[in-house]
Amino acid sequence: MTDSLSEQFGQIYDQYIDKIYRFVYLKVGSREMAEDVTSKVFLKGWESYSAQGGPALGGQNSVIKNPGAFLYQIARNAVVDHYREKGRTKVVSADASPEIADPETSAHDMAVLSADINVIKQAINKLEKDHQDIIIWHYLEDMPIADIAELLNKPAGTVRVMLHRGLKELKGIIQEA
Amino acid sequence: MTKITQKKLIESLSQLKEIKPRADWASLLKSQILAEKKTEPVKANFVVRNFIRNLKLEIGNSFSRKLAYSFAAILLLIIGAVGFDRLPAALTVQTPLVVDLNTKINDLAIATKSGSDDINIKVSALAQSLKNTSVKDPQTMKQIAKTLADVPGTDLTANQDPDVKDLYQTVVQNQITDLQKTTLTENQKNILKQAEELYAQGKYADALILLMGNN
Repeated sequence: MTDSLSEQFGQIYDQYIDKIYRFVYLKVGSREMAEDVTSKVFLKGWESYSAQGGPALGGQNSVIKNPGAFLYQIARNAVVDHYREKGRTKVVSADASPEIADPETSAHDMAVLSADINVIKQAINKLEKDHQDIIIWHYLEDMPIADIAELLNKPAGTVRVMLHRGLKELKGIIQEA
Repeated sequence: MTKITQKKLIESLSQLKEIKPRADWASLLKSQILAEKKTEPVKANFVVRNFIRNLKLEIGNSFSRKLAYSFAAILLLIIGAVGFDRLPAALTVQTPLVVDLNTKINDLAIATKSGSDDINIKVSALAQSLKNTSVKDPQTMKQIAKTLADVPGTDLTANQDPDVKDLYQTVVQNQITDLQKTTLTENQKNILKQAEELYAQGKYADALILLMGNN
């Protein structure tokens, strides 16, 4: 049964590792921190999944019916815990680029991201938390509004409004940059 | 990037999908999480955290469980010892003398109910048995008192056998002492007072019948 659970969770891992890492990375702003937090997310996810038998095996847990929502929820909490533990603020100073904050990240970013995308990445980091989440989920992960609404336990209309406001806020931050 | 359209912004956001974890890190993390034995560290601090986590789990699963069982066992022993100490002597120390006393009480009770002619002999036997046995248990004393109170006639106190007289005196004194330590109603206080008077007059059987008849 454990092997079967490992196999199931392995598939979930493969499906979500990129998404969760990206979600975390855009919030913490550095590769090292993103790896650290993402590790915690999947470790906690695996513990819960194995402890409760897994949904595919008829486990008692109905929370893991949607593994994506389940992992994103853990990731959100893990990011909050990360900032709480480190005593850091969510938003880096307007002048501080990730390169200055984390030289290792700078090398990584420079390798894969263009300058414009780096600006957007920094702008996302400055967004209000809920707007940040919604924009990442909808525009990066192609998550439907209904799923986001379920994840945030908010009406779909509210999520649409938040998405619109988030996009407007993001646009404002980029234009100011 | 001073001017940006919404369309351009959304397109740029989509490009952030290029952000991906390092393949070797992702692969190692997966095997580390799913494998039972951790073989290769993904990151030093992650391994340390895992070690501490596993240590906590081990402590939680074995050591604290053993500790809990030990504590529970010790607690049961203490409760058992205290409870044993509080048990009536007749139940805890079934010495031959106590067994003999109980037999004599039963014999007298049976003789009394059946109207046997040898009640006097039974009472004497019980008196002798009580003389040899130190009874501290109030329940046993009460049982003796009830049995004696059922014995017909009060002339037994006039019995020439001093052991019988001692038996009644001991039992009555014990019952009076018990009642003096108890909170009583006005009626019970009156009965106790009368019993004390009878006891003072040496009428132990009468005092006993009075006490047991109203108990």
